[in-house]
Amino acid sequence: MWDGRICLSSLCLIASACLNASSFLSIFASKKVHDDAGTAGMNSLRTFALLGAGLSGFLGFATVASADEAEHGLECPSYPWPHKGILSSYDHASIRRGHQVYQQVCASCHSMSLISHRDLVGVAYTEEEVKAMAAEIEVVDGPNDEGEMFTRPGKLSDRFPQPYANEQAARFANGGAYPPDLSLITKARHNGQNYVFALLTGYRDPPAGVSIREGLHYNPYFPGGAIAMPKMLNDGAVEYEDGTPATEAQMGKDVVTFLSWAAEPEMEERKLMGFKWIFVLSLALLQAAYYRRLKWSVLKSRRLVVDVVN
Amino acid sequence: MADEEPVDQKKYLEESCKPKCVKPLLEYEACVKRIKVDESGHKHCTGQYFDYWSCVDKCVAPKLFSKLK
Repeated sequence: MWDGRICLSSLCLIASACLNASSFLSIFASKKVHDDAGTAGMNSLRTFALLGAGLSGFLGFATVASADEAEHGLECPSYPWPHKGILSSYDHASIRRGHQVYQQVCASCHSMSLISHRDLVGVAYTEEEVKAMAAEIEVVDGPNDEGEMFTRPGKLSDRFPQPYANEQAARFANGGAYPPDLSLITKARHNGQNYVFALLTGYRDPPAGVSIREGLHYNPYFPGGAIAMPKMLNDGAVEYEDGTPATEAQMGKDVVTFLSWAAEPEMEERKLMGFKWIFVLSLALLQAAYYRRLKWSVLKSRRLVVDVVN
Repeated sequence: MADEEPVDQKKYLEESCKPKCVKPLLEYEACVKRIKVDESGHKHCTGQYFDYWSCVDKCVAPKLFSKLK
């Protein structure tokens, strides 16, 4: 992994190694200088030993530091999400398009088992639209009066359908890798919204010298670089109802907006409440500060006379 | 083809940001050249690759969403 580059992290390691070495040296120097005059040779031997230890430590760390880059993944940039501001709401048209992308592209492998059909009503679709959508899926229900399980068309109260019966089936169908549930994915990953968008739109050829084994794909944003999911967002993969051109970037933005809503459906109400209550509490703070100073003014304006007779 | 098929906005911006990130791109290409002769299979250019794409990402990110609906 040594390709001639010194990373910032390894520079810090050199600095700390040298600092440690010099602090050890000063300890030894202050101890020994009073005891023996003739231990200069011993001191220099010690310094050599310490510097040698520091150097070998640094060299050991250097390979780790440059391997860390691929391990942590390329840092994703910050995108200016329309719902990012302190009083900004979701783009609900984008949520609707993103749900369409999820249904047609992602739902074959990824479950969203915490979301119910009724959650979509009033957010992205009307009640009739969601009822019709739910009725298209078959749900296992029961037992009936005869003790048997039966299937029925879906209702508003049903959760989103699961593509696999359990984790083992999911892993078996995907080469050992488990496609994670997406209900909370933007909260479950560091810098989730930017990360998911960068990941979905970031499939590229690997750098020179990096080869990915058969069955995995290169993605610089994925920790380690080798992800089991292939590139799923391709231009024109989905035909949007509202006629928006379905480019890779457009689908990525829409599906991440949908996933953000799924993870944080309370966001709009939360922001409104937050703004209102921070304002109210600021006024309350001003009132409390005035009242405190009013009550304390009696003591603060006291005059103390120290009358000592010697 | 170009008239009917909408061009992916991100790819387009990445291409237009290439001139801004020439320096890391040249570093990457120099690395590729350096490791071409390597037979051990351990050398790679991930660092330079990351530097280049980090530069392109920072250039693309503020502009991309204004091009999307």
